[in-house]
Amino acid sequence: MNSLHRRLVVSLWIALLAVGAVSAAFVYLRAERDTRLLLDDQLMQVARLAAARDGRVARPVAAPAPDHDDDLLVTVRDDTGQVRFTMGAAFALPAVPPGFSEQVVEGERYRLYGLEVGGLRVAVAQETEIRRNIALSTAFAALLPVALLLPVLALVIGVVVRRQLLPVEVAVRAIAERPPLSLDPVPALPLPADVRPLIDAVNALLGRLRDALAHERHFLADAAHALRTPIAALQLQADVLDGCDDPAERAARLQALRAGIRRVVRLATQLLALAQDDPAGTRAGVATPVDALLEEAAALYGPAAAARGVRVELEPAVDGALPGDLGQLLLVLGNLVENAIGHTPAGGRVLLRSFRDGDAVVLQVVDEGPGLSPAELERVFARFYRGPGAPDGGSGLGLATARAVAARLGGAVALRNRGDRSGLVADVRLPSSVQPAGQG
Amino acid sequence: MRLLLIEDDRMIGASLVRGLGDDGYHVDWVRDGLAASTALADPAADFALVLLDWGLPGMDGLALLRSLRARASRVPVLMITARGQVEERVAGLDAGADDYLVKPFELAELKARVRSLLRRHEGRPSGELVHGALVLDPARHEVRLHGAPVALTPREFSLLRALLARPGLVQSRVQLEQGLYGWGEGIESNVVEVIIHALRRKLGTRIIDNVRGVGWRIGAAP
Repeated sequence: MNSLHRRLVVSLWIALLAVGAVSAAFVYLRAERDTRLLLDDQLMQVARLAAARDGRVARPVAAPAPDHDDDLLVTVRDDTGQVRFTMGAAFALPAVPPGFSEQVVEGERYRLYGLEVGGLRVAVAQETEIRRNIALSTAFAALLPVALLLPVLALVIGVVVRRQLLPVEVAVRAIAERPPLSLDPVPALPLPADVRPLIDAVNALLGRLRDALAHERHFLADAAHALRTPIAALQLQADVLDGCDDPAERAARLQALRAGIRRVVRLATQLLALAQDDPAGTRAGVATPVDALLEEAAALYGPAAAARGVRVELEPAVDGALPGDLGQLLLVLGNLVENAIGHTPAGGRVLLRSFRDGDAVVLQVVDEGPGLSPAELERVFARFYRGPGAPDGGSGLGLATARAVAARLGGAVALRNRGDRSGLVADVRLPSSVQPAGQG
Repeated sequence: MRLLLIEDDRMIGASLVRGLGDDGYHVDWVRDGLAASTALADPAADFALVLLDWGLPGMDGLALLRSLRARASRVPVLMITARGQVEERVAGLDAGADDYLVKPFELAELKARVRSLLRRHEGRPSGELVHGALVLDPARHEVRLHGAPVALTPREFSLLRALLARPGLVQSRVQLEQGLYGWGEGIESNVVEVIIHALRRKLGTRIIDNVRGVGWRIGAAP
């Protein structure tokens, strides 16, 4: 488990062990060395004492008698090498040079000290085994506090780390125990300053999710509401087909039903186009020539315009192609042309133009309607917004759809009032497609 | 029977005019709040019932309803609206609607509710208008005399219904014409007399009394 708690505890324990081992080694080595020096000191003093006891050493030795007399062997010889005195063992130590030395005597390893004073040769010896035991026990005694402290410290580390990480656990539980679909912020907890940003970030994320979800719900509610009226009309249009025997009247009612179906289909298409926010939904490499698009738009909306006494005029289109298929591009341009026709008074005209601007192609729909107030120029793009004088039977989705589809094709739609007279200009700016389509 | 339809959607409005027209109602249709309040304020227009949409351009349907009730009008109002939330239905009924129908709905249900509202408004216990051996069934659009069906034209049916709805009350020519025509329709002269003549021929001369100089009322029960 890769938990912060575990990692903290383990790394602190490793650090503790390392420090403990180094200090133990240091204490041990130091204690052993001190003990050896002390024992060497003892050998020297015993040698001097032995020389003095023989009567020829003038200066008395003030050092206290060593505790381990029995461990020490002493042999005193005269300058001819004759043994004058032995102590601690039945055998005599061999003659040794002055100072410290080590050698095997009678099968045991000894550390020896030699001293020559006034014709006497004193040798003092101690088994190295005994010396090592003394040094070891002293060193271990010095190690004991460190060894006892280590587990206590480890325990303390465990407890402290756990306690300090408790707020994290509390925060985790607070997040984990929330209802499955709750997007409310995690409640304020008394958290340390370095954990609080995490909770703040989670809350910020939840907030964005909440907004997005509210937006979608709102859209769904609006869409359901927008569908009610056209569907209610469909229902009634179908209902009134019953109980009508006159063929002409029946034909008129059937025609009304077909118009109602067209309205619902149109609305569904717009809703679908709006719901697809997925840029991947656009097929790459599909392109439509500019002139084909403009001619199709003019052909499609020309009859409806003529019925209102409005002319749709087409300026020669620029060469080149636009990204997207004809259906997608008509979702953009068609809505704009339809609006332009709806707002242009009888006798007026709607102009479709195109020109290049750098790498982009700009399509313009110019009408002779009343135009829009500056505040409305942007507001009319809101979904389901229906401005004053909006054409009958509209859903308030046309401009929102145009903008959404244009954005998906990498373009943009903007409205502005005409400078020369009353009227509106819709600019559709789309990237010029590199590969012109083979067919319109 | 003259109804006022206040509905801004062209398709729904046209269908309702057709559907209710099939049942012999004359429907006057206005598409915004302003025209609606003008129509409702017209003293000559004696609407039997108002069909009211909530969301209207110009003036909100609910505000329209409140001002109608504030003028002490008792005309039955059926709200037809896409707003189907409980709070909205409550608000509509509290504002003075007599019934509430949420779009989308079936024409048959709307017609049934219209009949029910008219029946209650006229204080009748059942849907049929009974006058002795003469029975007029608005739901089936049928008239029976001594149990035998009598074929009537929509206008004959409409005028007979108007007379049966207010037994004993003398109704003037203008009042009766109101039920047959909307605004803007040229009223043919003597049309009321022609229809009454036809009704007397089919149902017996005593079925309708003429009060000279005042108007007509339903006659003695057959």
